[in-house]
Parts: sequence; structure tokens; C-alpha cells
Amino acid sequence: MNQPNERPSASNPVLMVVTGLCPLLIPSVTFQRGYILGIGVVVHAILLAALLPVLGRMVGSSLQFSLSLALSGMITALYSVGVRLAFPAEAYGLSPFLGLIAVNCFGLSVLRGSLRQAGLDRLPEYARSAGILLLTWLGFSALREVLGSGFLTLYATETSRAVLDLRSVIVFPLRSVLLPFGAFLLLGYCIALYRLRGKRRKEG
Amino acid sequence: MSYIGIVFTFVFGGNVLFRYGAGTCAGAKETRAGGGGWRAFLALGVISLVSSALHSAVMRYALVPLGLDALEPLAYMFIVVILLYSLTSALASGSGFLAEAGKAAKEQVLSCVVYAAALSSSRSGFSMAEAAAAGLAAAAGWWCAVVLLERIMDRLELEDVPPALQGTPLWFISAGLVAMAFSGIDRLLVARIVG
Repeated sequence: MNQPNERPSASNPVLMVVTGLCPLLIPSVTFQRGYILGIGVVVHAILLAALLPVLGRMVGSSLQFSLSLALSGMITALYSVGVRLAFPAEAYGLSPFLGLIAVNCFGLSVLRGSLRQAGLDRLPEYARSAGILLLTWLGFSALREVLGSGFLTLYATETSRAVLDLRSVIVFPLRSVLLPFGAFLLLGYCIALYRLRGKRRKEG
Repeated sequence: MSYIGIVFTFVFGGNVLFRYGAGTCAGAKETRAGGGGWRAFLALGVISLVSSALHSAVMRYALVPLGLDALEPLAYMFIVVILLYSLTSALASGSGFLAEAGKAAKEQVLSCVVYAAALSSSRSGFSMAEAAAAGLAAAAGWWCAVVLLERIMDRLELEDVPPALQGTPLWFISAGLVAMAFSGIDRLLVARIVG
């Protein structure tokens, strides 16, 4: 049976996390949204990786799940407050996805790939992986904004939101990359390109 | 919106896989068709139904009247997830059929499919019963989408696909094309047809 998480292209841990975080990658329609969500994921993943072992030593296994989730929720809540203060216009639209950082990351980013093993001694490794993850995220969101709206705004304007309409896609097909199905298509082609690049490197 | 309209919307245009990308994460791994079977599907449906109804009630009767609707995701995590996780853990610690059901349901509590269903139904302004129907429809729609994509992938395995596109890229491209077709069946269209 074909499963998206079990295929060979998912051998890159960063790519694995990115493809697993589709619910957060799909709303990244602008560069600004991309860095708000990307930084949120990275901060959340690093803090959880650093704090969960400490929590594990303090409480029993029966309470560990609920407390870990509460900790995850609190980190996300603090980040949400920060986003509300810095980007009040974007915060409203992104609030459900900011919550998803906790729900998704809790079960995914920290427990998977190079971010899997928790511990302060591995923090530099987490930071490096998180940096690559963030760069991948920013690249993807920037590409969507450039292809969809024609330029990189680096700032929340009506540009990208105004084109989030299926009718406009009929006239300007490239705008589809701002819609969820366009994100799926773009992600598929980006992974294929990444593979081609890897293959050429090996051959070289 | 009628119940038929809700079901159509959440299965097609509002499908949580094609609209939010929910279910491509590890949390949903066990729920996939063939991986977890009918037991996992029923558990996902029940958890999605209960969490959507519960989250809708929390929003409708507590957060919105108090003007705290910004705390929606947090309320979901602290009330719905922890409550349902505790309940399913208690069920799983028993024995017999209830324990089996509890174990199956426990795996679904943290699924982002359930989260996306609860959030999208609560944001549609549904009553508790409508939100429950939307939650169940969203879970069923997600399941159907996964089965459909699996069948597509099985067919494509017989085709001569370039190596770079095999596997994950082809899954995402297929998902994108199906999502494009489904996105035409949106709420306005369904409301015009079935009310």
C-alpha cells in the first residue's frame, strides 16, 4: 500500500517533517505567513525537544502525556500572543493553524527524523535541522507568493488574498499555487526536483 | 444548511485532506484504509463526531459569549484533547470490547484530521448537532479521499512513471489534481442544489 510517509523520497528528515506538516504548509501562501508559521514550528520543536526530557524526569508516565500537551499548548499560546502583537492582521487568519502547530508538532516534529531524540546535548543538531526546515519552508512560501501573485511582497497586503478565488485561476492559471490544490502540486514537483538534484549529485 | 448539504460540503469542497492537508502527518498513519481497517475508521468517525460537537459547544456557549474566541485552538487542546484522551485511556485500561474500542479511539484523539474537522465545523456557525454531523462527514470524506488516492497510486504503479516522480511526488500531484476537481463542489453550489 502506498503511504506518503513511507516512501523512499522521505529519507531526508527535513523533507519528511515538511511533508508531514502539510496542514501548516498549505496556509503559507505568502512569504510573511511562511515565516510566521515556519518560525512557530521551529521554536516549538526546539523548545519541546529541550523541555520534554526535563518534564519526563519530574513526573510519572501517566501524567507525562497531559503535561507535555499542556506545555506544547503554552508554548504555542505564547507564540500566538507574540504574533498577535507583531502581526495583528495576519494573526486572525492564522490562529487555527497556530494551534495546529501544537497538535501537529507534538505528534510529529519532535518525534521524527533528526528532531526525534530529545536532550540538551543534541541541541546544536536540532538547531541545524530546524534551520534547514525553516529555509525550506521560507523557500516554498516565497515561491508560492511569487508564482501566485507575481512578486514577493514581504508584507501582508491584499495581493495574495485577492487572488484566492477559483474563478481567477481560469484566467491566470499560475494563481492556482496559492490555493490548496496548487500547494499539493507544487510540493510534489519540488520533491521531484529535489530528487533529480540528488541523483545528479551522486552521478557527478 | 441542511444535513445533506453539510455532508456534501465536508466530503467534497471542504474535505479536510484536500483543503487543509490534514492526514499527511504521522498521527493519522494508523487510520489509513487498509492500515487500521474498519475499526480505525469507526474510531476516527466517533472521535471526530464527539470532538466537533464538544468543540462547537465550548465555542457557542463559553468562548464566543465571553469574547474569547481567539482562544479557540487552545480551548480545543486543553478541553477536547485532554478530556477525550483521558476518557479513551480509561476505556482502554478496561477489558473486552470497550477496551478494544478505547485503544482504537485513543490513537485518533491527536489526529490533525479530527482537529481540522472540529475547527472547520465550529467556524461554520453550526449548532451542536450540525457540528457533530459535519465532524462525522469530515472523517468519512477524509477516509474516502485516502482510499481514492490509494487506488490511483495502485493504478499508477502499473504505468511508466519517471523515477523522480514515483512515490511521494506522485502522491502529492495526484492529491492536487483530485483536490482541484473537488474544490469545484463548494458550499454555494451544494446549497443551490440541496439547500
